Amino acid sequence: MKYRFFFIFIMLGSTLFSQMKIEIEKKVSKDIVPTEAINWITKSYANEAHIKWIFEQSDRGKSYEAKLKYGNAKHSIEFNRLGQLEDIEVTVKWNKIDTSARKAIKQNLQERYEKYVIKKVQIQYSGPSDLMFQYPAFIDHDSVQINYEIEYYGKKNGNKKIYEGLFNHIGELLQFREIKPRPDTHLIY
Amino acid sequence: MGILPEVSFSWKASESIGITAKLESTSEVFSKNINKDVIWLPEHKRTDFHIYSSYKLNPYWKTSVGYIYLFNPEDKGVHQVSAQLSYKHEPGNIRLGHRIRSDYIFLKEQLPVYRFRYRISAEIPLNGESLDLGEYYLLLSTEPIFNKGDNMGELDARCLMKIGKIINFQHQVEGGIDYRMGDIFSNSTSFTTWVRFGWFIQI
Repeated sequence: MKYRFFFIFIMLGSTLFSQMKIEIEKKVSKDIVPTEAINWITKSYANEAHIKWIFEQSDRGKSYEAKLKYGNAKHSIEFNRLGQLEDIEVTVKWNKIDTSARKAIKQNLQERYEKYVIKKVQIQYSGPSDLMFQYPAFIDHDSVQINYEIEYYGKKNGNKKIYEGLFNHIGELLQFREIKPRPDTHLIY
Repeated sequence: MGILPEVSFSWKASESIGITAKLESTSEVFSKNINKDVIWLPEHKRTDFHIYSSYKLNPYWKTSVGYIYLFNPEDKGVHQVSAQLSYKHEPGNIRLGHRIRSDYIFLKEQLPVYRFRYRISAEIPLNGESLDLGEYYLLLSTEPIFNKGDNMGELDARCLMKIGKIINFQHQVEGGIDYRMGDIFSNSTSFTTWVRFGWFIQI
């Protein structure tokens, strides 16, 4: 029994604490994307002609992503392998996210790092797919969950790394991962 | 015109300090004779051994110092020391690398030659949105080099175009063309093309 608790503790711990982010993204033709995903995009982003379809493979599994520009913001809409909507990520400026969430995230980063710099901010919306096809009308709906995906540089105990942190709508840290940089020898020497 | 194979080993000495050792060999394959005809004349020109130590200021900025031993069958050994500052960033899907470097080249029975150079390199993914493991990229770079030595001051330039592949986090290969112009503002400007092959290993 005690081993079971130990295992659960390890599993919970590993979901919150740092892991390494490794993703492989490949541009794919619309033809291989599940029909359900195509239909959803056609309905939700009817006037958007420039949609790039990406097949993504990461430690979280395999998925399809539609990337497009809507207004002035970059949208990334993720679907599972069956073409069901997983979430919509919208890239925004740091000062555009909710003030209290921003304050809580800032405090969290200040407590965990000697120095940090925010690099990229995405608002992640997830909820019922039949509700989420009218951006931005759905964002205040109770069934829609809002998280913030923040890419930042953090310095702590001499370690200078880039991380991706996922925070909930009130700015509490859900999980974070280190982004492993690609080799740069060919760019430097 | 010739070939320029290179192999580089990099490893971390600590969280912030990295070491890179590189071996580079230059062999001319075609050359121009006195009548300016291109002739097949294979000849080993030089082998360089580079060793650099870098200090990571943050994930974007690095400073490095290096020592290079240039072995030339005619002149024997030439010593060079270098210091550089590099910066990389990713505007959109492209990764850019900037490098400012100064070299001191110690020649036999001559005053040292000082070189100041700036290189900008662009790494462009060829498969999809971002460059991931197992994918190909195009590398373009350009570098003006100012040389100052005993009674000389000249400007050289290098342009590079390579195709590379990130096999995994440990291995990366590249191949392409390195076009070099020597003493641009003189009447005797030289042009050399090297076909480069590179293998970059992270230990």
